[in-house]
Amino acid sequence: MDHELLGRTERASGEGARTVAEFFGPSSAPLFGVRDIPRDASGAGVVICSGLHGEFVRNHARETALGRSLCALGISVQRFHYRGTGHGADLEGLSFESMRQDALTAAHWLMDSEGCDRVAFVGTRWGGLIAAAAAEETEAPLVLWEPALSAKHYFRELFRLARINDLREENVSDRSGDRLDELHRVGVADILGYSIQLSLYESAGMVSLDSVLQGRSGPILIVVISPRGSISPGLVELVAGPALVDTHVIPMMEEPWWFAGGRDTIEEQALVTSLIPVTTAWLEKRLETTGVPS
Amino acid sequence: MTDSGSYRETPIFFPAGDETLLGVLTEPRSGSTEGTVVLVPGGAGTLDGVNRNRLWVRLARDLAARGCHVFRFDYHGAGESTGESEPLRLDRPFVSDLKGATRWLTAQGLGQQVLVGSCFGARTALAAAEEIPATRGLVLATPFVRDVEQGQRMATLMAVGWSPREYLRRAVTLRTVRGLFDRGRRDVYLTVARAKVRALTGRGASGHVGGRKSMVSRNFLDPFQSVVSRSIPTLLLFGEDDDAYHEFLQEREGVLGRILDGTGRLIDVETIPGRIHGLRSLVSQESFLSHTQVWLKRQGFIREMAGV
Repeated sequence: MDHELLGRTERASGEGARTVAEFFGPSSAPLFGVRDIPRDASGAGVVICSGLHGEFVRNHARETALGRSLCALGISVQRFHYRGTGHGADLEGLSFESMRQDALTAAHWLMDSEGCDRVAFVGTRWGGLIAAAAAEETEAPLVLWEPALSAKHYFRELFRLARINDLREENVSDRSGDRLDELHRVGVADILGYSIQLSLYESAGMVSLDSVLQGRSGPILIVVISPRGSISPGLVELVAGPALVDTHVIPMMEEPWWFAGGRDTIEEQALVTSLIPVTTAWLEKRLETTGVPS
Repeated sequence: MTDSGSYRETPIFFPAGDETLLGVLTEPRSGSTEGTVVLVPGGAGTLDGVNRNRLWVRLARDLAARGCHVFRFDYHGAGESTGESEPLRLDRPFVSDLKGATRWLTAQGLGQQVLVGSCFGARTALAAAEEIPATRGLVLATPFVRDVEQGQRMATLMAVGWSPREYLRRAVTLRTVRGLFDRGRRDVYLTVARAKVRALTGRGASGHVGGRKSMVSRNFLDPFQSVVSRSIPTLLLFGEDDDAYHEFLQEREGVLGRILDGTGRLIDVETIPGRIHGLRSLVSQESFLSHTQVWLKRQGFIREMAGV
């Protein structure tokens, strides 16, 4: 794949590992990425597909921690900002397909840069749909943290959250209240100060986790955070399907993905203490690494 | 959307104190002005160089297209920077992080620096400006003039405003005693008590405002006085419904007003309808961008305005 390195910086990240931050991909519209490079690479790699906007902010430290944990086992890790998000190139017409392509670009970049011969995908929330779509029809191991079940369900939940926030902040006078109407009228909806573009909404259409996992033979780990200690009915159906699906439930208060706060330091530490080791151990086994490099 | 051919971007890890922070330098591709704008991260949830809804990314690229170098960065413990995250306190802004950024920029020959920050970022910019000789301008959006910890604003305002007698009366109620058994409420009580002690011991600004004790912080006043003394052009930008603006108006009647009087055009105070604190709406973000760019153009830091 003909992609360029467009600017790069590097720092040591402990125990001989390095962290590289760079712009890469097509020079006309580069992605921004951060790669964790182990001291002794095993040839395995993981691409982390982040969630959208508030989800990205909320989950970032956990994704960084996952990267360090995997790196310690010799697994190279690529995190990235989709074009149209974060430090990525501006993109008119952000779409589900552009995000899926970016995940694949990141995977190829990781494989080319670090010589990885096998790659897994990790996705959170909306990033779960992206990761699943990128891994579609492959046997790449796939980890889904609190994945969105479908685009339709996801956006409905977002619009509802935005409306609740309007009422909470007594911010109703200048809005119709209907984010879907706003989206169609002006091409963008304001979700807690983040733009959701009509192009993304329309392009995602009928995408669902079930549809992108159809025909998949590779292993899947689904991690959910649930006060009831159980997975939702929608995921139960998925798990019961033919794919090789493992699940892990973290019994905690539901994650307020689009809001700041909601968990104190102790609760966050408890979450990370469960989330990272489970994910790392599962990936280590599926990527057939041989443990801590000497 | 800014024409991507008008700028280029370079990521950089740079030292700040004991930590290594990530920054992104956005440079104009053709012809540059003298200024370098440093975008200082804001408050909770926006501690990185992207900011809510990519506000810093968009502003950086717009300004670079108008000839300005722009630098954005992640605080320690946030984004891709090293270090542990810590609670945000207005009396302990992350000055070391910002000084690391400006030191690196100065070493690159980018020494005419304009610091732009919102909320906690505004207080960081103001505090650091005292110690950064290269500061040539400041844009401070919703800078709180009183010191409050993240999430403790209303409680602290009430306690500091109460008389000692009222404070004691409320402290010995059954509700308050019950609260001592809840960790979260104990933290609030401690913060409120600290604020009260500061006010009583005069560690807030001295003097009275309209018959009540002034609550403007010395951590705001002292660097602000320094900015005025050094004749650094400054924009104070508020939303008309922001708590920070109401505090500012109250304190303007006292010592803060005496500093502002006589500054002429040096200190611009501008307001925007509604709230801009936290930049939690697309409308507030566009207003902030517009006002910032107009002011920067007026000060000669950028060449043209972006569709204003």
